[in-house]
This record gives sequence, structure tokens and C-alpha cells, in this order.
Amino acid sequence: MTELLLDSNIRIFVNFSMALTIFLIRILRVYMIKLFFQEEFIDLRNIQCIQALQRAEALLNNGHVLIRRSFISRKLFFCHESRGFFTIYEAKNTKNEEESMSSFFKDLGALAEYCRNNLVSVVPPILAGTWVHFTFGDLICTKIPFFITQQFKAILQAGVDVRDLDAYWVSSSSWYFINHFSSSSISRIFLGCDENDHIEPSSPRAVAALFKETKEKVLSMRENLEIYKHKWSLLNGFED
Amino acid sequence: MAMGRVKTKLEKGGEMVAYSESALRNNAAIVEYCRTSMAAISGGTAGLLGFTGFYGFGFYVFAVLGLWALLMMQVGSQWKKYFINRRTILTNGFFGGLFTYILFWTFIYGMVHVY
Repeated sequence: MTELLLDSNIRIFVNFSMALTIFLIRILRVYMIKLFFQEEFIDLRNIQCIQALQRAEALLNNGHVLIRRSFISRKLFFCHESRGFFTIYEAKNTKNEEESMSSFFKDLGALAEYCRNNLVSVVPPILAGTWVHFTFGDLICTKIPFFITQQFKAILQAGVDVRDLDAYWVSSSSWYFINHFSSSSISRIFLGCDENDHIEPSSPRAVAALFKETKEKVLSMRENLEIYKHKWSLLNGFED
Repeated sequence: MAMGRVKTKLEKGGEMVAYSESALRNNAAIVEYCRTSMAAISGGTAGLLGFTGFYGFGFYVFAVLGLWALLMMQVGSQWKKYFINRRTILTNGFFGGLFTYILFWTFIYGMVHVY
């Protein structure tokens, strides 16, 4: 096994410039995401409704410690035939639905979202990979400092078909891909966010999806409250 | 609906301890930040010193243990206030950090020792 001697210009013009390019592309992508995926507007009425649902659930769970009159007054706040919170919410919702846009436009919105997703997360790495491939071609650019078996040759030496070359040499195309796939945690440190953050469950987008379920929840919660049989548990057998 | 607000843990004496979910998540995020920084810095160090093979991986294990010891020194005997489990701080994200470490190790080693 002979030791290779690499041209020291590769250090600056391939190794370093590639790492710099990948980092700059990451910054670009983060700003593209900020541009394309603005935070969705969350309806204030929905937040109100979620909190009302929480309170109704607390009432269901702990209603047995309230005396009947207090329980009924709380129940009426939610389920009164004309002024109950849930009743009003349902009435408004059915009216809104009739006015809202048809499903065709909703589908169009989903398609646009799909396109934007692709534009942000697929196109830049492909462009950069093509650039690396054509500019740096099939240079051997670095060496991995630990032992690795011959099976990894195909991954680490993409574009370099030399049978006798040791497995720990890395070609520039492979080095680009290794860099690309393992630098997301670094970009999270330097930029404070990552390009995957917009699909993580904690994002406002996921919360907005949660809100779509509130309508069914309101319906079921109202029914639960209607059929709940109140019994005061603090003084067993004592009826007020 | 109130799910995910509070996390509880049963102590040995049968006592229930409640943790705030958001505070726990915040702590985990800070530890994650420390771990990534540690992996990057120790990877750079290993590359500069020219570690190869098992010395490099040993250095990573040393760095992980060192970070854990530092965190434990920082929170002291009150770690139960901030984390549910002490061992998960050590083991969580071990391999994620290893990837970052290898990236920096290889990059700096290549820059300094190969050419």
C-alpha cells in the first residue's frame, strides 16, 4: 500500500471551498424557507375554543365535587340552548363553512405547498451537487482518519474507479454528500434553525392542523356534558 | 386537552413528582446545543492533534463523558429539579453527535495532516 501525495492546492481550492459553499447554501435555504413559509395566521376564536374545551373537560372530571347549582351554572355556560359557548361556536362554524372556498382551491393550495417544499429542500442540493461534480470532477480530496472496510469504497470514492486505492481516500463528490447529510446539526447551531424545522410537530403549521379537529371535539364535548349525570360526592347520600 | 403540559414521575417512596413539559423540553434543547458544540469542538481538536483510528473514537467517548461530568457539576445535587433522568443526558444523541464529530475530525485532519 503506497501513500498518496496530494497537491496542497486541493486543500484550499477544493476541500475548504466546498465546505464554505455547503455552509452558504444552508444559509440560503434557511432564508428561502423564511421567505416561502410564513407563519400561518391562527384564528383567535379557535384558541378561545381550545381553552373552553379544556375547561369543559376539567368540569367533566371534577364536577362531582361541585354542588348541583354550581355545576349547572357552569354547564349552562357551555351548553345553553341559545347563549351557550359551544352552541354559538357551532352556529358560527356552520355559517362560515357555507361561505368558505370550494375544495378545488384547497387542492390548489396543497399543490403549491408541495412545489414550494420541493423548491426549497430538493433543488439547491441537486444544483450544488452538480456544480461539485462538474467543477471538481473526480479528485481525491481527503482521507478518513480511521479504518474502514473495502465495502465502503463505492460510497466514499464515487467517480474514482481505481481498484488498488485504499478505502480511506475520499473523492470530492462523496465528500460533498457526506458534508451535506451530516451538517444539519451545525447549521442549527450557527443559524438557530434548520431547514427541517418547518415540518416538525412543534411548528405553528402542526398546531393549525390540530385546530381543524376542534369542531368534532366541540360536538362530542357538548354531548358529553348533556348526558353527564351530576352527583355530589362530598356528602354521600345527601341531596341538596 | 391538557395533555403534554405536565409530566409526572413516580418516586421510590411512592411520591408523585410533576415536571413542566415545556421547561423539560427547553432543558433538553440546551443540552442538545451543548452536545453539538462539544462534538464539533472535540472533532476539531482530534483532527488538529492527528488522532487516527481508535484513538479518535476514544477521544469522542472521553469528550462525551467530560461534557456529562461538567453538566452534572453545574446542576450539582439538585439535578432532579431540572431533569427526570440523569442517564438519558449521557446516552441521548450519542450517535447524532458522533456524526458531527466525524465530520469535523475528517475535515480538520484532512486540512492539516493529509497534504
